[in-house]
Amino acid sequence: MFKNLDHSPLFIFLFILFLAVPQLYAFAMQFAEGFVPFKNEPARVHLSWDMFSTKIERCTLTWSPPVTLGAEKLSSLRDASLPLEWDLTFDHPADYKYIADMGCHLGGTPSTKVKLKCFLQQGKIFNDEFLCNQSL
Amino acid sequence: MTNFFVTSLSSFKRWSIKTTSNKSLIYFRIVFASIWLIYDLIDVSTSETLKISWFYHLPVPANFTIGLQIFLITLEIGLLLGWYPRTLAFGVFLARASFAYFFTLNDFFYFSAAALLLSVSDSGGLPKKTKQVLAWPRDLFILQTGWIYFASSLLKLNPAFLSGSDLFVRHNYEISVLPIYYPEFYRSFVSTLWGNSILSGFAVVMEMSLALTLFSWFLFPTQRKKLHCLALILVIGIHGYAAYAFNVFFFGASMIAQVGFFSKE
Repeated sequence: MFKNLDHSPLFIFLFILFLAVPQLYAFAMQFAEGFVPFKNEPARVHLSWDMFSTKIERCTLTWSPPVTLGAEKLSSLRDASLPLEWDLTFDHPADYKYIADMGCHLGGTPSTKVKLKCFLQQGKIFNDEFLCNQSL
Repeated sequence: MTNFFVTSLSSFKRWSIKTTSNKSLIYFRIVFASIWLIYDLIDVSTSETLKISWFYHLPVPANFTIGLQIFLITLEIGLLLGWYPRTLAFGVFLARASFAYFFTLNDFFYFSAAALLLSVSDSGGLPKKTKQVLAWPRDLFILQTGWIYFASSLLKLNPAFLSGSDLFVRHNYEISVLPIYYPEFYRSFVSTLWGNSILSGFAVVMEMSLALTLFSWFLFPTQRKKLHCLALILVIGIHGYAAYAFNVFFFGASMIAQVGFFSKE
């Protein structure tokens, strides 16, 4: 594939366009979406290489006793996936609250205790603790 | 103006027929295919991607996801062994790009770009039996790598990242969940906003330096040995730390291989 074409300057030029245009467009979209260096955060734009640059907040989530989700008993969201590389994460505390409630609905009891520890922007930490009957 | 275009066109034509040894392309194909074969084998055997369906509606049927992953694994084995490397590289590009359309991870976008570049490269054979091949795919690999670090570091120039807020979130979350040893001094350092702010500054400087080093590789051909060493130190520093602190391994390993093999002339 492409073996006879790769000597053609026209093919090479078109290939470079095919590779570069979507990436340059995505990068330009970041500015169109409001990104201004040192002033406004970038948004999530596919192919703009925005890894580690969008604003996130993350939580640890535990259920006690464990709840059944999918095919497994989970005492924490961390237990849902392999710890390295695949750790299941979300970018907003609201998503973790949604998962906590889902755990309660699908595999918890009214007395199941839910603990959320959220790491927020500006170095803040937010702790929340409630029983499943408050979300059921 | 006409003169400018004529000169540019003749430079482009000269560049398009320049040749180099395909040793780095062969090594990269083998390492790249190995890294992502391991990734896909683990992902499929432990149903990691499918676990998303426990919480959210999958964007595509589960059978389609598994089918696509098994197809990817098959092609990656072929690519690793060097069978029809261009065709299989184009196949893995199509398969991963389809996957990335539904599961929009930067790692998958990167994989698609690298596989597409491999599909126009002469990366067949074994490292012991090298030959002279066209150099432009190798050059594009280096430019693509430089662009990734340039764009990524520029987008990090924002208040949330530079203030240390984002790294505060990431560091403290990972410390809470990862089964990795983190010494006490490190824990207390990353629990402060100012500590994370310093690390954020370092991250931007290192990524931008790596991008500029890779771009300089074209501008200063006589300095390529030194630039290769500098690029290698930077890329290992960036991704070594990211693996330890932020739980990202496969993308980093690919980038180290990409910088390590291609910037070495």
